[in-house]
Amino acid sequence: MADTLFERPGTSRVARDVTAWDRLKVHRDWLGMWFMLPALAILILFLAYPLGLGVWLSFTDARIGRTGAFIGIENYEWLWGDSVFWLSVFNTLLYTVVASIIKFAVGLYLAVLLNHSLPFKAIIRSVVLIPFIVPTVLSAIAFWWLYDSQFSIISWSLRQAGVITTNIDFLGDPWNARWSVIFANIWRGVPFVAITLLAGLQTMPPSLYEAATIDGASQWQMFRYITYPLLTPIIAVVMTFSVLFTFTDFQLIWAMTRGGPVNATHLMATLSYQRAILSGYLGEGAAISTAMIPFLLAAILLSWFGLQRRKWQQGESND
Amino acid sequence: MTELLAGAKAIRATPAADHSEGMSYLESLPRRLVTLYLPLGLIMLVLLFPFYWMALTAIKPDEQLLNLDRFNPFWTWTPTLKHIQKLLFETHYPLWLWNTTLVAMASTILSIIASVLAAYAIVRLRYRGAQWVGGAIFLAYLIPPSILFIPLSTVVFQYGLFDTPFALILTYPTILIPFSTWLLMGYFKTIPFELEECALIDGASRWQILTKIVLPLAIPGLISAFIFCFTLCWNEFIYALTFISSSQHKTVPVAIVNEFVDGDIYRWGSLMAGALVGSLPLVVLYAFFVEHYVSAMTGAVKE
Amino acid sequence: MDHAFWPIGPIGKPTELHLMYPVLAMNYTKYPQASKALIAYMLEADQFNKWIDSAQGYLTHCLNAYDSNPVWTADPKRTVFRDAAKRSLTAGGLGSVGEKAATAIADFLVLDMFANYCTGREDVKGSIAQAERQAKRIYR
Repeated sequence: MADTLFERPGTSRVARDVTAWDRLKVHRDWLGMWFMLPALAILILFLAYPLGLGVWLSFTDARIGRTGAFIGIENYEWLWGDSVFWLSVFNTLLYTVVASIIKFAVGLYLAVLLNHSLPFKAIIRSVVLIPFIVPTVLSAIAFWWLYDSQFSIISWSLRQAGVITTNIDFLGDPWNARWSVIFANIWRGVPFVAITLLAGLQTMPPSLYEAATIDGASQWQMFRYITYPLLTPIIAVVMTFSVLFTFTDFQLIWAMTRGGPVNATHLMATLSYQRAILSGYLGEGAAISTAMIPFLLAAILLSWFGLQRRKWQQGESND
Repeated sequence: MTELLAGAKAIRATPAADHSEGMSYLESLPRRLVTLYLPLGLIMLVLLFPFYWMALTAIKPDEQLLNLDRFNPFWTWTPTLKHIQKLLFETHYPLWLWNTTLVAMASTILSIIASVLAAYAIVRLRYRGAQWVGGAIFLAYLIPPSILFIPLSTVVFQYGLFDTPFALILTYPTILIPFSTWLLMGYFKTIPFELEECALIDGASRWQILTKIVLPLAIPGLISAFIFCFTLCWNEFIYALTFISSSQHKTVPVAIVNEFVDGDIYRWGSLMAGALVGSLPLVVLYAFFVEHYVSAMTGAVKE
Repeated sequence: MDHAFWPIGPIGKPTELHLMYPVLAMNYTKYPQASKALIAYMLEADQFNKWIDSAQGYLTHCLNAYDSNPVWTADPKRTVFRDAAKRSLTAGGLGSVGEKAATAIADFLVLDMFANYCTGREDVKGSIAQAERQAKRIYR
């Protein structure tokens, strides 16, 4: 009698057997496939397939406007004897190594500075990140103007201070151009490194520092023995990203020097763009791009494994 | 159930504790001045000076721009809006701004949808091979655009998308999806799965769980992912440079580099005005959502 | 200040590169006769003379009739440019125009050859050898 009392209108559903379709609808793998479909479709169509296509293209003599025939490793043989290519490899390695080291050092220093108690700390932190927010090309244009050989404010200020007598040719002299571009990259990358390391620094328990101060450790000793080791995993991740994006940088160089005075600031990315799109040699450009991959893998593996979590950080002995 | 929901919200509301007070009572003021304020001030000056210079150049009249000796270069008493006016009314700049915004919004929305579905599938559905797929998606983020742009240009051309905004709307997600999936995976993991268990017991489908329970709780994560993706789209250059050739389809970064230099005449005022106006949307967006942006950056790195 | 031609080297012919703006009517246009008529109209004396005058010597003609336009003698500094079309080579230099010449220009073959020597990166033989190597690949 109770069931007729509480029977609500409209819910007179008859219990039915669970069909195969019902089971499929909640099956994890089936649902998983449908959920993953949009992401996987885009990634396979526009990332995985082009990656393979790029490697294939490097073995053909494709040009803009016509497909190429398979020519084996001829592109690579040609690049092996091309001094501009090796110059771009040198430039890329120099750019990446110098910029990453300085970005890391300055970024870590800035993170340590920001970790103190400061007035207006939140505002300072937000302001520091602005160079990273602004699109790279726009800040590259600003640097282009700053580095102008006639109207640079840097040259003017140094001349007024009496340090130099003629304007500095920032982007017209090969080595000046290299350092100018490296500085612009450092300027842009330091906020990212600093803010990320700052987040890591803020997770450090203050009891460690208090104990160290009681034991009479100096600031430097505290940094070297407490802060730095605990920060190593985050440093590994940040530097992996930083090295990756510095190695494959295109925008900054292209906007400022297009590859530089006499190919002095040509990175492998900009050289592949010039050879592939401007000159029309898709196969050769693809070969240069593919040649970037081994260096990239080496850099990633170095950062990743070199700075992994060590057992002693968790309190066990090192292995 | 509602207590669990409220509890989940509360857990996320408390920020990470700031230990900066720590040992600072031991430092004296002169010492702080030299070791802290001075270096910090110097670094901030270097970081911000290019923007000041950019803004100043955008409002300086031409004769003051080019004659640094007669006019004080660090300030102008007669600012002019001529450069900005030329920028907005005599070039196609508003069109380029519109193109960039459109492409950024469309590809961000597309990426977020795909990432939400993918992140939920990997973290909660845990289908067979989910970890491998998650790892593969993360690895996809490590493949930079400057390796892919050549074959992608042939693919885009084959599909007939060359020189249309769709070329960008469909290729930008390859940069955005890996990162936002990774980010959202982290956010979804913090949502207690007991909530979903209750919903499952009550007979909700996975789709209902996703839309009615998980997404409302993950809104901070969604905002962070949205803002970060939007910024990445504005920042993208090489795909836009390669796939778009006609002036009316260009985006702001590409147009700035190409369209303001007439052979050998550099229109610096308009160039800087263009750079300034191009950065403004992002800076404004950033100013309102700083915490979300920073948590996106650092949360992803800590994973 | 004045303008002058570049010196002629051992080759005996002028080797200046002048930017040539071709007026093209495409084969596939819907209005071939009208396009040709428009081009002819633009190059007629009534229109072209005014155009060259307002360019003040910055733009040069290709038809011999306009040698007598007074803009070239009004300011003696401009007379040199009257013969630009007669002296200039095409973008292909001594070779033909087309894809290969465009590639050679886009890859800065000649420019790098001079710049390599002037900045001291290579000696004369080295710069020439490098340019030759790239040119051989492009023009094979």
